[in-house]
Amino acid sequence: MKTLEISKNVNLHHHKTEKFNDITLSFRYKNLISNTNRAARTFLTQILNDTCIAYPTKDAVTRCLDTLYGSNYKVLRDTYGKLDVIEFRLSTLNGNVVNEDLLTKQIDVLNEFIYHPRIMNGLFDETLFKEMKERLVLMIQSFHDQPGNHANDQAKRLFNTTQELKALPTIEEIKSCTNEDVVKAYHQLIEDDALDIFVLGNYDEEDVTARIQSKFKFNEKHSILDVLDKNIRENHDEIIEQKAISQTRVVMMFTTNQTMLDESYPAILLANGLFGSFPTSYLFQEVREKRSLCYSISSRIDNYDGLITVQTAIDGKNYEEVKDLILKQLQRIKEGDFDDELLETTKKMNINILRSSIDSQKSCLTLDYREVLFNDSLRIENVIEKLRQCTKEDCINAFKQVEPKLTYCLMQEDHHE
Amino acid sequence: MNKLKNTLNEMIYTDTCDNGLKIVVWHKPDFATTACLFATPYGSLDSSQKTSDNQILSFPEGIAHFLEHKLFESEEGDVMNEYSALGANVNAFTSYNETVYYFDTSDEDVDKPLNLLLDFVQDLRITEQSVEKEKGIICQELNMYLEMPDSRLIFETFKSMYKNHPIKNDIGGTCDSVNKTTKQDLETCYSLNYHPQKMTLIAVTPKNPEMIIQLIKENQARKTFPEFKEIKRYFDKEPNEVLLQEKIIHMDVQNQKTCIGFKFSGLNQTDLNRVKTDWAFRFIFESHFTTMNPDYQKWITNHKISPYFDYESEFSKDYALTLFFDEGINEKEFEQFILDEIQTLKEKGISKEALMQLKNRSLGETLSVFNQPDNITVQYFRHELTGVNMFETIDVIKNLTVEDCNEIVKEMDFSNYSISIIKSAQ
Repeated sequence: MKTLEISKNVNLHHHKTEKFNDITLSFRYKNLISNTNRAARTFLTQILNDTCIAYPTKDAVTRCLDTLYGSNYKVLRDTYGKLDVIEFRLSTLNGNVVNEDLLTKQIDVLNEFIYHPRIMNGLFDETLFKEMKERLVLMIQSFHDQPGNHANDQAKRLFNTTQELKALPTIEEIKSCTNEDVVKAYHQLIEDDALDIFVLGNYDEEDVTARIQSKFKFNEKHSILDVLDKNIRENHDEIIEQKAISQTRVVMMFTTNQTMLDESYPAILLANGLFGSFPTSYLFQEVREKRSLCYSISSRIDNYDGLITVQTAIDGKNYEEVKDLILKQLQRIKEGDFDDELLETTKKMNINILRSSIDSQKSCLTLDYREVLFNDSLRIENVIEKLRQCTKEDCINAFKQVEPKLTYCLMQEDHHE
Repeated sequence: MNKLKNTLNEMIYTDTCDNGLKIVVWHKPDFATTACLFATPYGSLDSSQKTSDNQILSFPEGIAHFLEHKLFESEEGDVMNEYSALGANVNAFTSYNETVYYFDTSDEDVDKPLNLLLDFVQDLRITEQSVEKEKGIICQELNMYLEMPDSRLIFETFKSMYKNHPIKNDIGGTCDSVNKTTKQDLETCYSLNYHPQKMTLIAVTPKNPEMIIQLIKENQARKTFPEFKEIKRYFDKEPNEVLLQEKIIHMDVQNQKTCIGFKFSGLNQTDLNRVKTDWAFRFIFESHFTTMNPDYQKWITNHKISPYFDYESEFSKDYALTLFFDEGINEKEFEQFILDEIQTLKEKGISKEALMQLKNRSLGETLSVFNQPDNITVQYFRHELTGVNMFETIDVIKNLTVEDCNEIVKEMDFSNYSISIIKSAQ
């Protein structure tokens, strides 16, 4: 990846590869979560995805994207540690494949969507704003209608104030969000948010740099250096809520007290693999394979936040047994109750995932962004090398710092002790 | 061995083993990943089958899915662990028409995981005890899907639409049918449906394709299989009418979810014509029921539909259907809206410009599938199942005319439909 600073804190990253038939443009705007209004930013992901001045109707947008052979345009919001990131992504067939210049229009279209939204007299088009509000309310309700989503979101809210900020906005927040709030969030995004632009595919780097510089005008942005978050929670609490469902959801959250910039990063990644992220892991083997207590169980590590989250869906009558089993497996890793063969297998699985990720456009962009946020220290080759060198003791030491902090159970209502 | 160049000048090699196993190797020299799929056209709809001597064999619903779970057992214990030791990911899925086993790896060594794929799928090792143990896991899986309102809505709609066709059953069956399944049932179904002559192996790889084909042939040459016996899906004749016109299911949801399922007769025509009908139908519906239609905005603004409005269609030999979904909309008004718009669509048809727009889009989408090794394998197999391969399908799309699309939709009979509603009991 080659990086150029094209304005203060606006960086252009070229990732040239002949592997894909598409060219992807990804504009990632970042600000601190503590500075942003999540409801208004969630609004932006919908409103800036729908229409713009140049393409003011849904059919005009569809027609435009279809002239680019069904180009895929998305606006996404995500959090990375302390960051609230909004990404505009437009993937289009490489013009070389069909002997047409598609790149000029691709850059134009993205410029129209990002810089020319339907704001008139200081407000978003009122009909559009109303429609997006209705859409968001429906989206949030539907999200919570899925028991797995609901349990996860609820666990986040109950964990601590840092995690609560990363949960979806509530329906009340969406309903009380005004058109003015969303316009304010838009101006903050364009004027203040630091920006990273990624170009992925087979193209001429100089040509694309020149096109982007001539098409987009960027103002100077603030720099954001402090990315990683520390999650603190004093006690381990257990919270049980009821819902009229016939399967119980369990979400268990642990603090790792480590981040991806710590020396222990590869070790904690491996130790979590031993604990619950692969079919060979103790959680999968003990809870599913040996006792048939669930269909799926996994432990996901979030190294931006220093958290591990275990999730499963079980019969409510087995809740106590499953909870004990999860904690027992954590203890086994801490005590080094695993052999070198399992450690080697887990290393191989982690390395395979990292290597395969460069064959997917989406994973390429995720890895590129991580490299940008951490100044190359987490380049894939470096991580693979460090994983290879990790010892059993490294994994034990890393996992010794892992502490259970919240057990959230969404209990099926038909279950009675 | 046959060699073929696709639209992007990538080489695709095809061959057949002496035992009938079909092989496809798609060469992707720029990729690090090798993705392989091994599949049989045996899915959840095949729980009853008819032999060539007209014997009807019936098994508990969900047996294809149960079998998929059990094939992961090996002499050494668990196939997943063996793959993990090779640093490769393995998994499988069962759908209505197929069972698919697949792995991917970025390791230099592709031979071991590929041999393992051929070996574990071609060797069922189960005990009474291991079959019993799996029942609890499968029941939790089935319960998980039943708790998801969107998948539940589709299951319930199919149940209301069909009286005899096995699409009325969930892919995994029910906890009851799973508990009734025996070791003997699994062994019988396995011997009937996993013969190499029925199966296909597809690899997308940066490795030398000829060596991959050689490896597969050598693996197959080491094994013996009983004589291949033809067997077909069986079910009693399905009436044209739906079984139930309306069904309400109570779940703990905030938004009412509605699905209208239109039932058509299966398309018992040539494979090519069926695929043509399928695409013509997709395009004409896409031109009317999506944001391509300028009226779409009006429908949203006037609350005729919500942003969750969607539809899907399927046209196969023995069933054909279209489902419309929406959320938070009154079901009666939704029903009237759909019926009115189908009438409008029949009268208006598709324009030349809209058809061109959709052809452009579908070409872009197909080429985008070529970016992902795992996606290529599944899409390639799905096309093979239709009897018209991926590249022939591109030609079918290219040659579709406005008249083809308009005629097809005019001939469709939309009078048989069923409505399912999921809402809160309060």
